[in-house]
Amino acid sequence: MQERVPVYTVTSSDLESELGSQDISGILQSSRDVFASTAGLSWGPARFRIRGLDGENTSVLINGILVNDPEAGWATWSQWGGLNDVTRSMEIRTGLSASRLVFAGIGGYSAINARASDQRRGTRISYALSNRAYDHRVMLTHSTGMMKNGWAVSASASWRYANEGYAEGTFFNAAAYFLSVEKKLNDRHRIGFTGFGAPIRQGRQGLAVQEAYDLTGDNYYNPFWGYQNGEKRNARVSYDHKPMAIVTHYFTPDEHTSWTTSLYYTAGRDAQTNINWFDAKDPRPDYYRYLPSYYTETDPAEAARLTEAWQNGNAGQIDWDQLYFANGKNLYTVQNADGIAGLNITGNRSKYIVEGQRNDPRRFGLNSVWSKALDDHTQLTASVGYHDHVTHNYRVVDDLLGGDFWVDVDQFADQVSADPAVAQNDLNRPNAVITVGERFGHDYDMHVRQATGFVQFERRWQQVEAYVSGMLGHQSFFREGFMVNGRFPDNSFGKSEVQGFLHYGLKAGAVYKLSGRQFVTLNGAYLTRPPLARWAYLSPRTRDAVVPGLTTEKVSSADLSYVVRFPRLKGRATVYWANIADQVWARSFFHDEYLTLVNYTMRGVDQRHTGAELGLEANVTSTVSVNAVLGTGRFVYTSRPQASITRDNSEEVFATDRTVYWTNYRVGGMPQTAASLGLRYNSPKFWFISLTANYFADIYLDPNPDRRTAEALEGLVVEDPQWEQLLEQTKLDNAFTLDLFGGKSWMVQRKYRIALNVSVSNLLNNQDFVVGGFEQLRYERMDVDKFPPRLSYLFGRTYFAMLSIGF
Amino acid sequence: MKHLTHTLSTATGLAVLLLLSGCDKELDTPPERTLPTGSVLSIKRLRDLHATTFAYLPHRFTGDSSVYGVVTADETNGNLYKNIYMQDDTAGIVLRLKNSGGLYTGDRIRIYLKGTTLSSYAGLLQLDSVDVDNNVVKQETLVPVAPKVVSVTQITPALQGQLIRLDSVQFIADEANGVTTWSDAVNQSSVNRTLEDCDGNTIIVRTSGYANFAAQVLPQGNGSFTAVVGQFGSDMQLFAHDLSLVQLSGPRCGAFGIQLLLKDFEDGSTTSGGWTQQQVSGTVGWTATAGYGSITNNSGGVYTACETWLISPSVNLSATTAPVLNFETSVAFAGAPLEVLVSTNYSGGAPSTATWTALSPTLATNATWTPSGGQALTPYISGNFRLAFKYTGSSTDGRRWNLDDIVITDN
Repeated sequence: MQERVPVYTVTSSDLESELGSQDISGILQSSRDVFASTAGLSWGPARFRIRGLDGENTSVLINGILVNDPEAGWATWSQWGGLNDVTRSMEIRTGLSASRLVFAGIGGYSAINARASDQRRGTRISYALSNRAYDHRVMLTHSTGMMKNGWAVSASASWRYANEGYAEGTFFNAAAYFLSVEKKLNDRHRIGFTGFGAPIRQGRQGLAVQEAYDLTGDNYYNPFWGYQNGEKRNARVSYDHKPMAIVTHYFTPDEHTSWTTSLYYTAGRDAQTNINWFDAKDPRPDYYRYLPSYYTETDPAEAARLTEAWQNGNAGQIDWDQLYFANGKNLYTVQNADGIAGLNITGNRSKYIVEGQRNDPRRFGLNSVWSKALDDHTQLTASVGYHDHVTHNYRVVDDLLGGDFWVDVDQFADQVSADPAVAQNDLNRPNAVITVGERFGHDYDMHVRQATGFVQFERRWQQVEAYVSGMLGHQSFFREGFMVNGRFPDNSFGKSEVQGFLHYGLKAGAVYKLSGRQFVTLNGAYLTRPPLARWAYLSPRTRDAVVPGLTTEKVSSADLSYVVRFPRLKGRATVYWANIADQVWARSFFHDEYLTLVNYTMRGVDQRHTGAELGLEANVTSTVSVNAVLGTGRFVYTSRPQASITRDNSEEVFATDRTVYWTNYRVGGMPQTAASLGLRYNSPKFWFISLTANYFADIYLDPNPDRRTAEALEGLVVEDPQWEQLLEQTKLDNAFTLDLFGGKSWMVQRKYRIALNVSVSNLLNNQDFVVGGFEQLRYERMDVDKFPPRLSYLFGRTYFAMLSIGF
Repeated sequence: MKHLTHTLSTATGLAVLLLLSGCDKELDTPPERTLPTGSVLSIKRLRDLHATTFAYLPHRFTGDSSVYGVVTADETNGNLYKNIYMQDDTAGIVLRLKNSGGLYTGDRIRIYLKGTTLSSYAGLLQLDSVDVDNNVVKQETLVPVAPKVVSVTQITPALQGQLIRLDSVQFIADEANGVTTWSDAVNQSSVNRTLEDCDGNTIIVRTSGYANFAAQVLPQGNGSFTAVVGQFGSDMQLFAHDLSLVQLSGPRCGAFGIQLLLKDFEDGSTTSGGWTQQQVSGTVGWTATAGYGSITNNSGGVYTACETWLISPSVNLSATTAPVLNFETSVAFAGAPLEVLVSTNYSGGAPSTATWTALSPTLATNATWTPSGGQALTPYISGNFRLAFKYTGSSTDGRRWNLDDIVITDN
């Protein structure tokens, strides 16, 4: 049945140009299924998600190894960004299906095949010019294929660069390297090695409020950068590098059996910089008190001054020179420094620093899959896997901005408690004097261990093919703190209690062949899933308290499809239903009055996703094809979760078991409806051009849960304007975009394949399309507009052009 | 061989790419910026300018000039917010910061005056709009400043902004009661308390509800009090900037003497603090629902016979010389008087187990609260002094006796 349920492998080169060109992890870049390829290629920039599902519902594999982060659930595609040539061979399935590789989530899976012997033999050199996240990309790949001496080697490297990306103040500098070697030992045994990595430095773009976009007249205004000594400097730089090495043993005991076992190790750096400050004013230019609206009513003159400074000055950007200036003359004496009585250190204490927020992973594991054709009609697959994962979470000083040191105490705790111990971030080293490269603030490991196994049975009859598979797993996690936090001396240091969860899953499906060209498929799944360690703690930075009542998530889903495969008309229509229950939801936000992160955690979050997918592709003539694609869904929350609100710098608990009235609010952050109409001309002379029109609707911002509580509405009546303002969910405008693709290829001297591919996204340069954002968690009950949502606009017209030579 | 060439060229390409990507931008450090000093003004000069040249009107500095001083009170304990006290050898002044934070007690600083405004607020001279990042240069840290030792009556506007110390002062008896706190931490609003010397001169101590000691109980003793001097209108105010310099632990002095017993019913309880009720007959009891104690056997004209005692805890008067009892009463309806009795041999249980002696205080005759007058307790000095309020109601008539602020002090 493998060939019946659509299996998508990337083939057409016009699609690959999108791979990795945006750093946003594409869940699905492309495929032969017209719905999936449109969703990945044309709807991706609008943040469309297939069936509205998060990354944790889709399993991503490289050489059979599951690479979803065990702590956070999702896979980070940038880990192999820039290695398009060697990760192009990918098996993608959306929704529910059988798989001989993995018991996938309900979103399906993407399995990258980076095996040396499967890489296309030859050399490929390409150069790409773009104006999106990066401007230039060069890539070089060479693969030998399986040689007569039993070796196969594949190597690839690339470099992507932009001095300044599409948004002002962003930059991009990334390398990537890849080496895969395979040795055929004999007819039954092969050994393979694959190693890769992608060091990346990227200056980020921040989401701003509409007022800031209006003031600057730029919907791509970026609050993250400012001038330092006349040069643009970005405060939010991600610098990641998480190389991975995999050793695989391919064993074919007989022609009906395969047994693949892989061992892997990955470790590296996941970092993002940010400005931190102590006993000083908020240096972020778009802080709400620096916007004219903050003064409109109380001080119109100040509002006018700020408006002028935003419109004609640099008020909208970080003033780095000013931060240096302030740091450079802030003489301070740290008494009893580093906890050493009598040690006084005097110097310029940095009020502002650039810190690195680190979530460095390290993980090893193994995976073994055995699959056997029992007879011509029956296939049995079994697999076991184990992953031992640690994320090291800490902060480090990256730049003292002209000062001499940073002192590791909490500003707010200092003010609320007369006991100086309370303000210490690490009682093992009180009054710590921190210099560049030293850790401070928080420092802990999150350990996650996963063991899973699955069995799948497939059977084929005359008109029906069916499968059933079952999975059993165990996941445990715990926190290990390396600092004794002064607010939480009893539960911040050392290993916490281990949380353990047994989970299982069942999946079954069938294809009924109406004819050789028409099929009906039906799939169903029920699985439980351990809570993600990243969200399971109330405030993991400071202590090991877990969300009360942690339990496994319950996931169920079903889909029904009708598939046609006529010579001139191919298509699929699917209806689906998915329910995810008992989720934990956790977010943290900075509260300027408490001078700390406030943690908002909910449990018992349920959501239901229902909808339909339609993809039709018709060959009108031998050269002209038309496609029509529609994805429409209704993704809603279906429960009243219980919220806990805590803060990082005090034991004070703002709320426990606060009921959030969230039922029937829409899941935000994506268009719930998207439609495309495409026209493509394929010239027999090896060139093509296609035009796709896209329409997006039903886009919501994810609701701030606390605005939907009885506590938020306390004292208000239905007639009050705040009632409506607090409860109403922000719905974004529908939007229309046009995309153009074209390409031509040549064969030179019967040896060199030369191809030119161009894609132009948002051809009409629509700069008013809000594709996402969020309602701020900080809000003012009586003045909801005081903290308006932060929004993100679709880039205007962008292009990507690539010239490649293969030989 | 061909493969080797390919592999070599690929490796070279890889190396070049990696080298290229290694070129991270090294950021430049901005050139050092300095603040000009210009003409130097003393704080006294600022105060004089305000009173003369600027004629008490706000003045914004626009030229190059500076003032030097040492910070005497900062924001650390939360009592001051965006307010800093600074002084030099000539005078003191309050700095109003544009943004909270960054200045600490003991910092010797230079303030570049350009952009700041000299003004007074309700009589308090302040240098407004001080931007710590842009106006302040720190020159030295942890500079000690000796407080000026003054008496309560010497605290006048001339001392504004200065660090002072008062000796032999105490919070007034109404506040030094073991219950009253520095401020209102619950509503986070500022509160005035009153400090007095042994002659009864008083001064306001103002504390923010945001102070990290707002919820602490006021010290009850007598001693020294170091603070900075503020003003609001005609009221001089003190702000405690460092609780370790508030040392009120010695024996109290003055008119109200050392307090040995206090019962003010503010906590709504008749029995808190070790007081007991003894119902010798009937079931009528003392209550304390409105911030004072109360007893009645009259329920809408229905009278219940009773004999009910409210008895104090044992008070040790053995170290006293002239203990005095004060309390207040008010009364309604007609009936028996309230009896005030003392004992030195009561040890709990039925009142009849001990010997009681009646006092003759002034009792109320109507609803007006009436002070008892000081009742000398010298004859009853002992290690086990007890005080009792006894009410005997009949079945034919009955009064309501209200009782409050029972205090025993030693003068």
